[in-house]
Amino acid sequence: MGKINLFYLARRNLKRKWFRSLALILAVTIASGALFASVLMMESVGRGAEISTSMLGADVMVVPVGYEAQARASLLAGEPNKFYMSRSVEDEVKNVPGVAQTSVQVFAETAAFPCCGFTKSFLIGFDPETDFTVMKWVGESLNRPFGKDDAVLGYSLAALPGFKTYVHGHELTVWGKLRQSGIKYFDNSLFVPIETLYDIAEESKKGGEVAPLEIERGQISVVLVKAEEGVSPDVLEVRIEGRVPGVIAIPMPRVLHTVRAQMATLFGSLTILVAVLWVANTLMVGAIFTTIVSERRKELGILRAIGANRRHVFRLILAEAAFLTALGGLLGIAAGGALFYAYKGIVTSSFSALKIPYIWPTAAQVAAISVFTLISALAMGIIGALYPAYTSAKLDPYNAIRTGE
Amino acid sequence: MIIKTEHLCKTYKIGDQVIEAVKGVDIEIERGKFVSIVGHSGSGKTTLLSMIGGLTRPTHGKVYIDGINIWNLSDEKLSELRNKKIGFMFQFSSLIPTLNAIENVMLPVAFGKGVSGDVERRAKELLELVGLGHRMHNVPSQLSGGEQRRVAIARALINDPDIILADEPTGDLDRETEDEVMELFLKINRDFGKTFVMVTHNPELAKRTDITLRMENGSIIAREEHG
Repeated sequence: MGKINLFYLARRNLKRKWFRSLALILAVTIASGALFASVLMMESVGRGAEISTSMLGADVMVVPVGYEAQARASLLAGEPNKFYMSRSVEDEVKNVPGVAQTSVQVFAETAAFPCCGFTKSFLIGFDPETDFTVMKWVGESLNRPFGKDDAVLGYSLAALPGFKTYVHGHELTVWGKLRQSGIKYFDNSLFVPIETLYDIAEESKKGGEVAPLEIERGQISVVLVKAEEGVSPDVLEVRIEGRVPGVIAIPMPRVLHTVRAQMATLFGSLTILVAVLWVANTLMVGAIFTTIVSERRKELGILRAIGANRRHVFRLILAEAAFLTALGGLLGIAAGGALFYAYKGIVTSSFSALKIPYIWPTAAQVAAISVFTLISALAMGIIGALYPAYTSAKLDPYNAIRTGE
Repeated sequence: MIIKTEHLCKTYKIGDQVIEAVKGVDIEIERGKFVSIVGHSGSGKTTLLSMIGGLTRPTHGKVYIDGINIWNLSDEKLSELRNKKIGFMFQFSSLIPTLNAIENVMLPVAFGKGVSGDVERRAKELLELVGLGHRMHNVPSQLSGGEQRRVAIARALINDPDIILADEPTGDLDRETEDEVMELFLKINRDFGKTFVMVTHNPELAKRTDITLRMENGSIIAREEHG
């Protein structure tokens, strides 16, 4: 037989009105499940946006005027948008005070026909000489320098280094594969040297059954810019837009900010709903425990008679509430997590449709969110039961025994 | 004197009406005595007992247990005193319904400080003493009224208190069970030297105690010593 203590007594007390306990547990399960799932979703979206921008390694992205949204969609959702400007823009940007480094990329899409090893994939031409975005994320690669007809594959494209593939009939060797990032821009793309992409585009126009790549040699999609130390991306934005006509400079922190603003709109009502559920459950705990204290006046009086002091009674009521809500919290985490996992595909594609990057959180994040949810559930019980616990501790033992008879 | 009261008073205010439940009671009880308090309903017996037991604060006066003025103690110290020095018996079933017999007996230990010895073994011995060694894993709803009282007696003894305060402990029991419970009280009083203060309506039971205090309108009007 285990030792009899307050917590044992609290656990046993909860069994006496099992339906009431069960109803309260279920209510807390729903609130905790909603809290867990929504925080998990918000964290995942936030993390997706953060990783997208940080992996790119640029402070500012320069694109043709009018293509800001498409550029964002390409970066955040890995959408193969096509917009072009002259490569001479890079030289102009380079001359802007405060610019430390630039690199260019050109965006295209592989065709949906067998002429291409990876159909309908995001095809990105990059400059290996100046690149600071792609090569640093290469995981496994061939043991030789990156060559002209080599390609770097995103993690999700199924081929190993050494594999031969074709883009509009042009043979490419898979030189390396990027590490998994969860970001479509990196995971689903095929990166080739920019000069090779120009060659492929020219070859595609010589005839054939598929639509050619509409890129002219010397065209680029974006200039990725690194700022000098101490120069903020916002300052660089103003300088670039003031000195280079026909372009728009997008500071990376603003991309993050935009995603966060989208999140706020998207999750605003969800946050309110979760907050309302939390407050409603806390009040419900208060109401239920007020009834419990009233029903058990005599018993609480007897506990005082046999030696329980006010703190014992206070702690007993709080422990009962905390047990119930902690159990509800744990079930909520399990239910929220299970539902989330079951609908993982739908969640990911829904965010993808909204052009918002979404990354399944790490185990450490899930653990942290679980702890947060559990603490919230415990707080629900403790705060809700605070007043009934206080009144029960203040009961005069004799009165409690007599009026409870 | 193990129990002493000095001019103990208790008044209640119900609306504009002031009710004097206990009026200036002075009593002294020696260690090891079995004292009964008798009187009509509303005479103040239970209120007096609860003030002696530290359950309700007197309006005036003092209660000394072993020389300690208990109503000068903090809630924590007073609760500790109730836990260690006093065992309570009530006129109704006072067991916790979710705990079985042995758990109910062990419960006061949960509120005590510095528990020593094998509590479970002692609880079993006490249940054996009250004749319930075979029912220790039954919950109160599986026990008869008399058995519930006997479990309450075992619980009152678990911390080996000096004083047992019993408020009409046999009130709702049949004659035979009442007799059994009273025999048990007398045995504990005689064999273990525990001081008993028992409120009762039953003059036959009162006659079996050492001293009877008769109360009327909040005052002690007579003290009878039995041979």
